[in-house]
Amino acid sequence: MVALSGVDLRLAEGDFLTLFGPNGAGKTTLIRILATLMRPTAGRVLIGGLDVAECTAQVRKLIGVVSHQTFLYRDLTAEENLLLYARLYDVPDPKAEVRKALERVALGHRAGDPVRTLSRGMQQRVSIARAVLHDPAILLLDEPYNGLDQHAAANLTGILQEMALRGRTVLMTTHDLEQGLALSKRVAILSAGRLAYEERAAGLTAASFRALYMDVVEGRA
Amino acid sequence: MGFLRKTWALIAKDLAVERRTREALTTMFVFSVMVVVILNFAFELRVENVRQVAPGALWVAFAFAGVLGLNRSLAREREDGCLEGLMLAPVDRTAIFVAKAVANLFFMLGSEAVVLPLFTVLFGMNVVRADLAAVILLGTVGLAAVGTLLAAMAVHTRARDVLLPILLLPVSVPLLIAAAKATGGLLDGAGLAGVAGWLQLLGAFDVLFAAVSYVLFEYVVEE
Repeated sequence: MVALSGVDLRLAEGDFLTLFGPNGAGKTTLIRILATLMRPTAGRVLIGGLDVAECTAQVRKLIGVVSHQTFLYRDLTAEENLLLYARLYDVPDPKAEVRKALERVALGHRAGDPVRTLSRGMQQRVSIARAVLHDPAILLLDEPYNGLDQHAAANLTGILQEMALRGRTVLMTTHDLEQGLALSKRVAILSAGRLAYEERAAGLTAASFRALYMDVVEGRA
Repeated sequence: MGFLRKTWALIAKDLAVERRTREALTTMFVFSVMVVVILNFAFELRVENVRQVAPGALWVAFAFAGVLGLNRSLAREREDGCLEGLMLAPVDRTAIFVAKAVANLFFMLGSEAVVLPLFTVLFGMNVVRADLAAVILLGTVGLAAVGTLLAAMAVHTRARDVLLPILLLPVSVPLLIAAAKATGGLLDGAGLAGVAGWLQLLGAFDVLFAAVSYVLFEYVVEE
């Protein structure tokens, strides 16, 4: 089964691209390939000019990933989880950076609580703190708004906007057309493993994009 | 230096999780105790046969308890995608393997250390001895090394609880035989010099299992 085929996508430094597509379109597979978790059977992926297949370790330092899964140990505290990742990413002064990262997601007061005692939304916020802890040049987010309450969603939006202002590159997948459109500089639609549409977000209205999305997904465009 | 620092961070993580949950240690200890007690009654031990069955009983308890501990240790990495989280980090896969194997070795040795006094009481022979500790250490190092690799393979399957013993026990049979023979020799009073051949064999298996697992781990965890 071919999950992705002929996907040619370029992101410049500071780009914010949101990838839309129905379930099974290949969004998660694409994110996993970019995140170095999967090797493509054909084609090349370059991140920061580095070939992912050859310079995997260097590429991993450049990227932060937010996924459906939190990548957090339930029985460790939020702080212990982040300290572990800070050490793995060679973050200087890990304790101070972890405190800052938890404050950034408004969870400084729960730093000492085991992750299993946090709500799903709070766990996702700790996961976001983990992803940005090493100040990655590229942030990959796979449906990051899933399971977030309003407060957590606003917090994530704030972090993404701040990252974009600081010239970080963001690639996000989501089913929320309005939110994705509002946040990003470019939008793309993945359908049946192919990049069916790619355009600048400016000038697109939610209504026009929704109609376009339906046309692309249903094969009318 | 980075390799050692990151490896230690991963070992400390496993120790912290275990300190908090005590899942692996408790499971291994309870299982070992049950095996030792059941074998004690099953063999209706008398003075003349206790030396023959004790080494086998001890290593059966250690091997099966080790399987449970290894399964639990790797299953923990599967929850919430923790292993993927580690794979995303710029850390050598071999550091992940070494950390996991060392942590598993600590848990297995910890469980064994608690079972040994009980074994001494039930089987009426002293197994809390320095010379025996060397055999137990060598045997457990090999089990932890190859067990960590095979548990990493099994953890991605639906039948992981069943698959690990099916994979691990046949592979570790030579190691277990060498460990049981060395244990038997020591209990018979042969001394370390008397079981040197078995100890060398155990050492060779440890090196082989550790080297093969170290090299293959990356391929087992990569998608």
